[in-house]
Amino acid sequence: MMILGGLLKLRLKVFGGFFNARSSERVLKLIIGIAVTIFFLTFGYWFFQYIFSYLKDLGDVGILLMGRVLSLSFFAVLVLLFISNLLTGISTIFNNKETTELFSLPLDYRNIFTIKSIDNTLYSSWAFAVLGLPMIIAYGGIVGYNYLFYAPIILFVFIPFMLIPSAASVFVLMLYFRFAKNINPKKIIILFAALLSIVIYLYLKHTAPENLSLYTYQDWRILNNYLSGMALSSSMIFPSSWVSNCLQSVASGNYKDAFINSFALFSTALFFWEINIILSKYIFAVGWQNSLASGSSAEKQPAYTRFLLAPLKWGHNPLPQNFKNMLYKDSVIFFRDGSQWGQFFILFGLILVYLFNLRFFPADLTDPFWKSVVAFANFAFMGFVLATLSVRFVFPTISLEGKSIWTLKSAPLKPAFVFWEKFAVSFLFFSVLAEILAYISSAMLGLTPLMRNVNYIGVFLISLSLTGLSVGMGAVYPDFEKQNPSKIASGAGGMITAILSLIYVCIMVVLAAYMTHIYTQFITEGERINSAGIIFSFAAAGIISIITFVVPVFVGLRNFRNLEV
Amino acid sequence: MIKLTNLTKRYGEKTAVSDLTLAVGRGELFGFLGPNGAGKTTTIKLIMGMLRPTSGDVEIDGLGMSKSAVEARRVIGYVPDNPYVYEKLTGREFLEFIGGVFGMEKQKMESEIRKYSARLGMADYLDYRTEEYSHGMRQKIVLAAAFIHNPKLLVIDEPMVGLDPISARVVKDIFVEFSQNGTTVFVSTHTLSLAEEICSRIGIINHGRLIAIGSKSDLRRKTSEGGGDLEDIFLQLTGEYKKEESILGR
Repeated sequence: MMILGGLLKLRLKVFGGFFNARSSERVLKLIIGIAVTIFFLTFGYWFFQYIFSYLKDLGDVGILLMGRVLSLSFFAVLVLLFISNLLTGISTIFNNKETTELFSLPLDYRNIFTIKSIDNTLYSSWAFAVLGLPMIIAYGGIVGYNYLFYAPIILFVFIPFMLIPSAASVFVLMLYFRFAKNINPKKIIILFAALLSIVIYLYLKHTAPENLSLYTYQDWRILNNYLSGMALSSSMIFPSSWVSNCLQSVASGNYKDAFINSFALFSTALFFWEINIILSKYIFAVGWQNSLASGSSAEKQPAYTRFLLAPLKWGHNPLPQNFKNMLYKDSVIFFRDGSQWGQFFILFGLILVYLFNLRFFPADLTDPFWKSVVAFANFAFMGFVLATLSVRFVFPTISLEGKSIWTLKSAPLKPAFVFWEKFAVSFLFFSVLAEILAYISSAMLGLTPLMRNVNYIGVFLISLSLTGLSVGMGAVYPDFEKQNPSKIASGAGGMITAILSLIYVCIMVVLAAYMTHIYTQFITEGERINSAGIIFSFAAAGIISIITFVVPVFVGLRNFRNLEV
Repeated sequence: MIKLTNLTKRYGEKTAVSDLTLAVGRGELFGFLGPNGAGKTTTIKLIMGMLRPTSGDVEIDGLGMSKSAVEARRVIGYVPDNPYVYEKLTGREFLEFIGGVFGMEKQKMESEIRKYSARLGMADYLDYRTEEYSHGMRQKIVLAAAFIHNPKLLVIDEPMVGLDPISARVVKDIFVEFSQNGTTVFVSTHTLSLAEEICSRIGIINHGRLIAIGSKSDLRRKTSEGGGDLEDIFLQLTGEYKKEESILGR
C-alpha cells in the first residue's frame, strides 16, 4: 500500500511539476485550458439546462422523458467508456514502456497493475467527466437539488459509475492477454466491433423505430414509447440505470432508493476493482509478457495495403513526389497501427448502424415541421460525429511523427509542406466521409432538395473548419513523446481542441436550428420568410467557420515552423 | 562547408552554446569532442537548423541556415544522437522514404540501399519492421539513411553507440571514403579512439565554449604536459577528471 502511495505521489509530483514550471508558454496554455474548460462547462450546463427545462414544461410526460433521457445517455456513456477503456488499456497497461520499467523494479505486480489501471481510467474517462458534470448539475438545478447533494453524487454515483466499465474492460484485457495470446489483437478488435455493430443493429431494429410514428400522433407520448422501447438501456442489470434511478430518486426525495442505487454502484465498482487486483497477482505478469510477444513480426506488405497504396507508387501519378512519399509513409503507418484503425473501425461501425437505422424511419413523414426537426437533428448528429472523429484522428497526426520528427525537421522539406500534407490528407478523407454520411442520411430521411443542399454545404464547411482546427491545434500542442493516438487526443491540447470543436459545432447547430425554425414557420404557418434571418445565419455560419479554420491554421503553422526538436 | 559565426544558444538563463565560431572545410573529417552536457548535440542541432540560435549564424555550403534551410539540408546527411525511426515501417521502407525525400531516382536509391545494407550487415533485416530492431540495428538504419543520398556533408552525433566491433570498423571506413571523395564529415563523439584514428582535425567544447581546435599535434601542444594520447589531451583540456579526483579526495 505504501509503495502504491509512493507511485501515486510521484504521479502527482510530475503533474505538479507541469504547473510549477516557470514557462510563459505553459502558463499561457494553462490559462487557455482553464478558460476554455470553464466556458465549455458553462455552455454544457446551459445546453442541458435548456433541454431539461423544456422537458419539465411538458408536465408529467416531460418528467418521464427526463428519466428516459438520463437512462439512455448514461447507457450510451457506459458502452463508450467500456470500448474506450478496452482500446486504451492495450497500450496503457500492457504494451507500455513504463509498465516494462515498473516490472524491472522490485514491485508487487498488484501495485503495478493498480497504478496503470488508474492511468487508463483517467485517460479514457476525462471526456465523460467534462460532458457528464454539466448534465448532472443542470438536471439537479431543474429538479431542485439541494447544493449539498452534488458532492455526494459526484463521489458516490459519478465516480463509481466511471470505475465500473474501466474495471470490466481491464478484466477482459487481462484474461485475453493471459489466455488468448495467440489470437491476433487486430482480429479480436474486428470481431468485437463487428459483434457490437450487429448487436446494436438488431437491438434497434427490433425495439424502436416503428414506434416513432410521429406523423400519426405527433405527441411526446410517442417519443416516450420510443425511448421506453429501448428496454435494454433501462434494464436494471446495467449501472447506467442505477445512476439514472439514483438521480431521479434524489429528485423525488426518495433517499432510500437513492442510497440503494448508489450502494449498488459503489459496491460493484469496488467488487470489480478488487477482483482485478486479486487476479493481477496471478495473471498480470504473464499476460504482460504475452502482450510483448504478441507484437508484430517480419513484415511483408499485406495484399490489401499493397492494393490500396499501389497508386502512390505509380510513376505517372500527377501528385508531387514528396507528397506521394509522405502520404505513403503515413498510410502504411496508419494501416499497421492497430490502435488507429481499431478505433476507427468501431466508430465507423457505429456510424453505419446509425445510417442503417435511418432506413426504419417513416419515409412518408409528411409534416414539414417534423421533417425539418429530423433534418436538423441529423445535421446536429453529423456535426458531433465529425467533431469526435476530427479530435481523435486528425488532431494527433502531427504528434504521431513521434520522436522520428527529426527525419522531417532535418530533411529538405518546408515545415509548411509537412503541415499542409497532413491537412490535405485529413481533409480529403474527412470531407468525403462527411459528404457520404450527409448524402445517405438525406436520402434515407427523404429530405427536400433545399434541405439536402443546406446539409451538404453545412457538412462541407464543418469538415473544412474542423480539419483546420484539429491540424492547427495539433501543431500548437504537439506531443512527440506519446505513441498512442488516443492518449495524444486525451492530453491537454486534445481536450482544448475537443472543447473548441464542440463549441463550434454547437454554434453551427444553433444557427441550423434557427434556420430550421424560420423555414418551418414559413412552411407551416405561411409566414413571410425572414430573409434577414436566413442571410444572418448563413453569414454567421460562414464567418465562424472561416475563423475556426484560419486562426488555428495560422497559429499552428507558425508554431510548427518554429518548432525546435 | 560549415561556417559557424558567434553562435549562441540559450535556454532561459542557461547557455548551452556560447559564442561559437568554427569553420570546417570541404572533405575534412572533423571530430567534435566534449564531456556530457558540453553543448555538442545542441551545436549539431543548430547546424541542422533544428534549433534556432539565440544569436549568430550557421552557413552550410554557402547557404545561410536561417534563410535557406531547405536548400542547405539538401546537401546534408544527418544521424541524430538517438536513432528513433518510424517503428511501423520496415527498414527498407524507412530508407526509401528518406531517399524519396532527397529526390533520389528509384534505381539509384535501390542500388544504394543494397550497397549500404550489405556493408553494414543488415541486408537480411531490411524487411522487418524497425520496432523489431535492436539499438545497434536502428543505428545502422539511420547511418544508412544518411549515406544513401551521397551528401556533401555528413553531420553525425555519436555514430558508434550500439554498434558491434565489425560494424564500427565498417562505419569508420565509410567515413574515410566519404571524406576522400570530398564529403565533409562532422562527427561528434565520446569515442576518443574514433576521433584519434580518423579525424584530421578536432574541436573540443566544454560548458558551451570551444576550448581547443586543431590537429592532434596542435592540441598536444596546447596541454601543459605536451604529450600523451587524445584521452590525456581531452582530460587535461576539459579539466573534468581533476574535479572528479578532488571530489573523491584523492
